[in-house]
Amino acid sequence: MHTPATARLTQAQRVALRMFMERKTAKQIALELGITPKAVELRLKGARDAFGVATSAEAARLLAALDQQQQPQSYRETLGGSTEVAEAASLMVPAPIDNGHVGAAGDRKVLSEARTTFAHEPARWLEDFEWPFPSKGDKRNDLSFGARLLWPILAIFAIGVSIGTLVICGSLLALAGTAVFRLLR
Amino acid sequence: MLRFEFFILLVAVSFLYAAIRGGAPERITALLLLTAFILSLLLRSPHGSYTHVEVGIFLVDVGLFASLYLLSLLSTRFWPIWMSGMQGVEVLAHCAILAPPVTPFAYAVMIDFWGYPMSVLLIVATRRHRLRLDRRGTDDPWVLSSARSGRPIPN
Repeated sequence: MHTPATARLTQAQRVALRMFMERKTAKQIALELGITPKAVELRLKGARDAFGVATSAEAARLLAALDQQQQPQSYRETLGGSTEVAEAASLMVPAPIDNGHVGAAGDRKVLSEARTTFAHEPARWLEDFEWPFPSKGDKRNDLSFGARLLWPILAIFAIGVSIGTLVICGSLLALAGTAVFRLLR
Repeated sequence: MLRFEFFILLVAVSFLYAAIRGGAPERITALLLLTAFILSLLLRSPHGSYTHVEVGIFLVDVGLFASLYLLSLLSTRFWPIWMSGMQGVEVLAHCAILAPPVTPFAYAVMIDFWGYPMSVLLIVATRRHRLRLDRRGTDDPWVLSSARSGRPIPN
């Protein structure tokens, strides 16, 4: 039986949320699904709206909790035999949810406990930020068009400032060296 | 003079390595750098005093910057971002000679320097392309071509 929130979720949104729960970034999800990071963001946003929560992490936790309650077997099959997420969800969200309904009180209970468990979760925005260099799991440049427009300009300033700083520091060191040399003579 | 010969050697090695072993972005950049190098030699003012803006070199540098910037918009590589950044600094260096504290020597250093790191970056980029090719068997050069094909991109 589906709750109103899960009934509104599309299969694509569920897949994206489950991969998000596996701590994959939007870029990694996009690479695995063969879609753009923007499409992943749209799916995650749709899932957040369906659950009425502010963050994808909260939506993923709620979905994992509901899956664990309602369809543990099919959920494991969906994950390709991996029980990692389901087990993680059971550890993270021990609160029972009456009749599969995520009410206001249920939301608060689940979220407060889930937040406690995820207190040491690394900042995801750092991973999802569009850096202008390859990251560990993402060697390919899939930056958005806006980022592609902006980064070369920022690179000019970054390189210019770095070189300028090096030149100034070098000059100051040379001056200091000369002064010390004269003092010693 | 030895410094100039070393630079020619570096440009030649980076051009040959990228042209033979590189993907499309590396080959295009190799051609761009070589063309810019030859044009800069041809368009340099006869006396080479660097007391005023070298208009010929400036135009070549602006053209190279525009090409690299376009490449960074279309390519699946990260290095064109940084190469166009270096080239952008070189373009700005032409404006620096208009400021009184900048001496002709400093101007010459600023516009001659960037050829070295850009050539080295091209060699590194080509090497990384070969590694990706060995690991995955394929290395899409352009963003639009891989997006149109709709196939999953290997990690």
